[in-house]
Amino acid sequence: MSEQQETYIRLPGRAQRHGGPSVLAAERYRLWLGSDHLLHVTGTRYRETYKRFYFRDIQALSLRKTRTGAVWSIVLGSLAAPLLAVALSVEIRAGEYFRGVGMVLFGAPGALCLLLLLFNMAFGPTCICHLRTAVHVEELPCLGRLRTAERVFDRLKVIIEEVQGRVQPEMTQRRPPEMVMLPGPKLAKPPPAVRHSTARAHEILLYLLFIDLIPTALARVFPDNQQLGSLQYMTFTGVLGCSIAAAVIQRSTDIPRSIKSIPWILIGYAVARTLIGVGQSFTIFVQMVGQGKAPFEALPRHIESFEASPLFLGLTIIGVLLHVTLGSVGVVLLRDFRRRSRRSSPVSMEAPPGGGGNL
Amino acid sequence: MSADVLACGRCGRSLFENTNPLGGSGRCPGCGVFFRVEVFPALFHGRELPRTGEALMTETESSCFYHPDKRAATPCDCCGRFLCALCDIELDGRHLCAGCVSAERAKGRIERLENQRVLYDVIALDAALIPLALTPCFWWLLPLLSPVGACVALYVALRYRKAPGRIPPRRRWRTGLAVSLAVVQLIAWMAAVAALLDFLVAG
Repeated sequence: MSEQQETYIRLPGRAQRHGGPSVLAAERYRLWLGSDHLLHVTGTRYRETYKRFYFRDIQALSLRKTRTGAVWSIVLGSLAAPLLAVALSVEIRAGEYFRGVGMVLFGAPGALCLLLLLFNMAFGPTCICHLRTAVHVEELPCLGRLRTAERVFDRLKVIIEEVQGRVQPEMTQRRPPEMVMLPGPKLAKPPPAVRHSTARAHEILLYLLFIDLIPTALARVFPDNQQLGSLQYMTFTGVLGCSIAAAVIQRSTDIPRSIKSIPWILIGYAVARTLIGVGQSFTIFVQMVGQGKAPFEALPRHIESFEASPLFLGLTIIGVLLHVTLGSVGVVLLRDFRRRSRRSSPVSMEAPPGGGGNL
Repeated sequence: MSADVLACGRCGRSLFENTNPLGGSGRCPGCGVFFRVEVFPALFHGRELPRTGEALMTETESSCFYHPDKRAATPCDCCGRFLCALCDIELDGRHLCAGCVSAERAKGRIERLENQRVLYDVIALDAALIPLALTPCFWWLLPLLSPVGACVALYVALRYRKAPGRIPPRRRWRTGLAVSLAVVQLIAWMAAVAALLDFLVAG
């Protein structure tokens, strides 16, 4: 029973998914091209599982672009920039006592994030791919990058069409009735229904943006007033809390994307400001200790130094501009959205007889 | 019209509402996400009816070994039993019965039916390498782990030297490296033990 050795050509693309706490449990995926089939290899370090998809049985290949890569870029970028800035700042200001601390504590993680960001950007956008046969749909995790997936699709298309021929328009007429759509991973549960929203949380958020301007301006005029500082802290926390609430509430609603992006921009700004603030505070603290001040003495003073620094002033100006711009644009967009909603469904927008708005 | 043949995996809306349903790329009309779909003629073929085998017409006709009331269509290329159309399994141009397919698969002779393999070369290499890799942190474990790892590596490499490797073929340097590392480690440990004994005897 001698059998001819099948020759395989490795296709580009690979993926790894963690199946457990151990590195050895991570599953790896690869695609190999055989003479008459596609071999999908799934395996851990010590065992491999094979699935063969014969070219004559493949009905469709599909890919869908995902946001995973973009999200990773944003996360890595927003980590790398503040970390590297803080590392540089600490290195410049630290005395002999703290030389190298900034590079180890902030520089190394920042450089790692930057490196990962560059790799992520070099690999390009992400996607999810599926292969469909008559009896099932198989996800191809190794084709996780759009560029690679397109290249593999181009190659497979030619080979499969050599075996099956091309699809002719008249074929679509005699499609058997059991043919259904290509399911994606999220189609296991039905997509959430889009519900109507009056965007009340966004309205409160926009008012808060304007309200926050008052304590911010007063705190600059009276920097020694503790009550104004507390009030500014409260309104900032209110804006952040309201942004998170609006971001949660707006899911699966008919609120336009432009309005939906406002809470996310504010959350991003708050996170960046907090990170920069913490980093800058640490830098000043290190600088003071480096100058010979005892840590207990330096701790209360570094807060004052941070509030007097040009970075704090810059952050405040950016914050004020952001609040004014987002607040004004948001109010206009919200009014426009509500006007359009009233026009399209006048009945649903009417207030109930007992009073109160339609939330 | 086959507008509902393919739908977006994210929002569930048909991808080809207003466009060519024969595949292609574009943006989902529902969620605007980029997609590409390649469609092949197999999508439009109906499912084949299962083969049932023809019934015997006369007493003198040859019948299937497994179904005496069905007409034999072909002999098994492995055991020679007569098979009806239902029992005939065509594999790589040969006609086999279910029993032979099962036996051949158990012996690992039909590569196309194998769906799992253990990578013994990687196991052997790791058994030889891991004790050495742990040395910088756990040097005090080296006298225990290194000989054990070397023995395990040698055992796995020799015991499974004829076991088939992974299906997409690759070079077998891992086994060679595992054996070399294991032998070097064992020789080094034997030399160390001999030197220690010499020292103790001399002392």
